[in-house]
Amino acid sequence: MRLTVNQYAKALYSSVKDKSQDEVDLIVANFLNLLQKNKQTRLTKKIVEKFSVVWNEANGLVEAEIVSRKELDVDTLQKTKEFIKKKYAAKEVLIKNIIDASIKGGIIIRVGDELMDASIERKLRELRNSLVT
Amino acid sequence: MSKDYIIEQLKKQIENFQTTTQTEKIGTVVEVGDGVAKISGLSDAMASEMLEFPGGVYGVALNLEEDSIGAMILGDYTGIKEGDIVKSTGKILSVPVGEMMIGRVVNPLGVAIDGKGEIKSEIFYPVEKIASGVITRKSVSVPVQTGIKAIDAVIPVGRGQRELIIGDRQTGKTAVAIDTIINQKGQDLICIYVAIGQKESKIARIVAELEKRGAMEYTIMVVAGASDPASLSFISPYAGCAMGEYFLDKGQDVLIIYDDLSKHAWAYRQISLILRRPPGREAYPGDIFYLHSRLLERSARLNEDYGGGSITALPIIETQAGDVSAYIPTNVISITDGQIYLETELFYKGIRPALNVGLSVSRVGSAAQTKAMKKVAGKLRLDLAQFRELEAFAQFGSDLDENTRKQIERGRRTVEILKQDQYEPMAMENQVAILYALTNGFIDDVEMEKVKSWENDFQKYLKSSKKDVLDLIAQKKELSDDVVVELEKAIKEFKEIYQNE
Repeated sequence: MRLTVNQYAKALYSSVKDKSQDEVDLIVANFLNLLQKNKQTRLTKKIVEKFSVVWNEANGLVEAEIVSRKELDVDTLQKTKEFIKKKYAAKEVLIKNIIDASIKGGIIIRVGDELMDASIERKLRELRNSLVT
Repeated sequence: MSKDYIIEQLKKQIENFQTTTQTEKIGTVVEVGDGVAKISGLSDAMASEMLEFPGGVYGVALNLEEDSIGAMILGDYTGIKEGDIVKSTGKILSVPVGEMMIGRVVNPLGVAIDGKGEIKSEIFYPVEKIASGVITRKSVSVPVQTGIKAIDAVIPVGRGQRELIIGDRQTGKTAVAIDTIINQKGQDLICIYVAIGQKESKIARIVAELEKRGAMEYTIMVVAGASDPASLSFISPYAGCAMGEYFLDKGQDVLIIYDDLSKHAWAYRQISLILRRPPGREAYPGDIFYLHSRLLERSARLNEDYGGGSITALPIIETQAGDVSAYIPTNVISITDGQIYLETELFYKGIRPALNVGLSVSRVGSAAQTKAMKKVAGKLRLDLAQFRELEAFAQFGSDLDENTRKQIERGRRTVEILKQDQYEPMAMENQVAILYALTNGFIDDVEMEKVKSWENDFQKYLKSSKKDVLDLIAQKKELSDDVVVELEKAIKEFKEIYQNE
């Protein structure tokens, strides 16, 4: 049976965790050999993506995308970080701040496939919908 | 009302307006094409959950895979592009139902397309629902009067039955269904006509005809046109059925016509192939049988404990060159409780409805026939069977013995009487009267060419002068001795008048 991307990523993670730099180099080389043997090298890119998800999950790392109208100040950023940490029981939060003036204000937080839309734009849209109907 | 007051009210409403921010599950479109989108993310989407695409277009999750979802898009998919955000709604695909749907033309999502204004309904029914179970059901006992002599007499349909209408293109399949709807006027039966991949012109014609005859007052049209995406064609029979189930739950009787299920199978085949599900025979997917069996199983007659309502289904299947042994026809034949078989050859011979009485059957309907009809139909069926056997000898003409000749003559007249024009359904009592006259030899001495006009005059005579006899049959629903005496008297009187003219 052919292995899936998910299975590869998990296997790679469990073999590299708590290993030294030299060992990791060897394991990665072996892993690539295995992929070649299984004729699944085209999956490499997907495995890399999946591996970072697996790695983050195991180490309590959360990648969050924050959309705001302008760059967030340090204080707000810190508060948001705390909020995400609490919500996802994470040890560490990596923030990627995206500037988008079209949301008019407020923020949108996106973690994995979850989205919290607290933008002014959405509120205005909902207000319009509630007035129309 | 002053201007200031309105402004004040608006301000107040805006002030009181509050939104709550909730965590939503989202996914992104990876691939889109031919009405199907592949979405990554949405890790906890349910099977057949509604998904919201940007621009208010909805989709349905069909394939749930390890790290992606295959969804069909209900509506215009041209605006959807790679990278778009898809939100889950947490709702299973459902349609609005209720009394306000009656008389309307809607699309499979319950949105009005007849330009008579928006339909607002509080009640939603899921499109896919498991059919009623054994303990809730009851056997068929009340007839659906189709108003077509040949069907009501020989292949009766009962309320809660599933009777397939099958035949080649242009054999009058839809005509049978439409006549049945027209005949339900004042019969306490709600009709739902589901058009699947039909030409818009044909739908417009049907709506106009139904409106002209006042049949839209108790009819819902669910329309997925030929230009609508396959996904809409695919859900339309289920949506129509859900609308019917609302009335079923209220204890009412419903008749649903699925026109036609071959196009439904094609639509599902298209979606399945684009979703890369493995193709099987004739490239249909593996669950093509379940596709139709789960739909038709939702037709039922419930017992009194569950309201006593019923859903009767008249699915239509179009065959290619009379081939009933193709994949989809055999599937649906085995699911339904009988079939009405229409033939091109008969159609061109002028026998319309082009019903092949030999191949058509009704497996449960005869239990629901009225006693009066049962009495005349038994004889009729025998006459027809004998005629079919002897038909080959008919060309020998004078060489035949008296008995055979008589049977052939009777058979010919029977075929003639069973002909019926479109949009002219006939009430049960009228049918009984003419079939009684036929099976008891009162028409044997009428010349073949004049049989049709004799029948027309006879019906006119009954309606104008012998209304009491018709009422008696309609009321008693059986041919007891006193009714027979009255009926025979009426027939004899008419024959005298007819001869004198």
